[in-house]
Amino acid sequence: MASRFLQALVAFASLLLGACTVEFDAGNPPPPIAPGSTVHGLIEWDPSQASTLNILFVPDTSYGDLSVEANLQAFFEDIELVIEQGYWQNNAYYVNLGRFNYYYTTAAGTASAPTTGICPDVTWPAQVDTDGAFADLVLLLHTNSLRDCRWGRKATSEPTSYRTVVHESTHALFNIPDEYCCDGGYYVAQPVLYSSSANCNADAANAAWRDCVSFTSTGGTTWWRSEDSISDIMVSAGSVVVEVGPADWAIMEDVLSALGATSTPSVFAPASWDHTP
Amino acid sequence: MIHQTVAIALLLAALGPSSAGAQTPAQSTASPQPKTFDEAVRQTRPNTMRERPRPSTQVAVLDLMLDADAGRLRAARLEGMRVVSANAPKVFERSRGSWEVRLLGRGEAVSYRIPNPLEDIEVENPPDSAAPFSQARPSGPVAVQLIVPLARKGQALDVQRIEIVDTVSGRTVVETAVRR
Repeated sequence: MASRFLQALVAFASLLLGACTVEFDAGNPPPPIAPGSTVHGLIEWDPSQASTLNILFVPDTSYGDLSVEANLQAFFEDIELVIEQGYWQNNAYYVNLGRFNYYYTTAAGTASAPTTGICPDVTWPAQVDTDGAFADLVLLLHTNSLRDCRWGRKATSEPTSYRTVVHESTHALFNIPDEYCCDGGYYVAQPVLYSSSANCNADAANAAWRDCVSFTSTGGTTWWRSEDSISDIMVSAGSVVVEVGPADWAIMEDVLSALGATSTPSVFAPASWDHTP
Repeated sequence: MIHQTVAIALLLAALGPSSAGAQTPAQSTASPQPKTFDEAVRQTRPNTMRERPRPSTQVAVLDLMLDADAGRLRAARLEGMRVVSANAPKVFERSRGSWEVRLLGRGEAVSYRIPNPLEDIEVENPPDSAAPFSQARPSGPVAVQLIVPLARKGQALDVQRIEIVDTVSGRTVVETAVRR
């Protein structure tokens, strides 16, 4: 009983001494998710990972040695920005946040200006393909300014490029193609993108919003988009993170509902939602 | 700031019902709605602070070298394959795209789709561009790592071979035996 009283007293004193806001802090980081792993859970609703999509943040070496508390704290605060100002400003991600686990690795990579081509030169830590093999998205955060790229499940970003993070994550997590014209990545993914007018106009799945309009990619292929009048995150014409369209949500729901219960967004593009904590 | 987090946890533990030796149960996945990152971190702390054994399921990590010409596949070779212990990424749930990954074994064949990796590279455009992104069409050698699950819903699939097929051209991109 005395020890419980002392514990409560210490805790209360710590609260009084601290600032008003309670934030995640690098002073007591979580252990690795498994013995010898470089991956740690940050927000982990389902530690079995069975009912979640799993996002792994990788630090650029510019964060420095992450065994130093201040460096780890800087990395955490950038991840916080990405989650709160990126993912959670998109209503579909926010209302389903229990379907997303977030992890970080202490193994650092590098992203620098390209020596050839247009994508950054990236050195990924080998651990992302071993300790992080479970991840559906591997996002390397760097603080230097670059034109970032995504290669399948791996992407680079500055921590403040919110639209890029959400757009690229939506590709990697859900296999949703681009919807902007004309040099994006396109493939048949109903009810978002079709290979013919007939297929688009005959699909009962898009009846609620159907506005089938074609565009021809720079490669010469004609595609049919079912939500033509809607500028959404996969069109990304706006300057801020925007919502998914109803067709995008149909695919997202298909993926998420295979994992567990889902919630339908209350806001769809072109409207936008402002999540203010 | 962590002192506050720990302090709150200690305070709640101290003021809550006493249950010596009781373990904090895993967080439920039912519709959590924390308003902030910090709340989410705190709510899942009982999960993240627990170390657990390595998963019993495996994935194959395929290191491919694709020879590309402006984003088109000219040739492909498998540079390496290793099997590691990991939960399966959700490739079956998001199965879409023009490449098919076939998992072949003694049981029924299992497959899923992925986008063609050479058409699945996207770059941020400069700020004054009409569209914020565009597809990058690489030329030359492109290293690609594919994580191929050897289990589904926690059950091993007894995969003996992996075959990757471009369904547009019908061409088999790579095939390999799974060596554990």
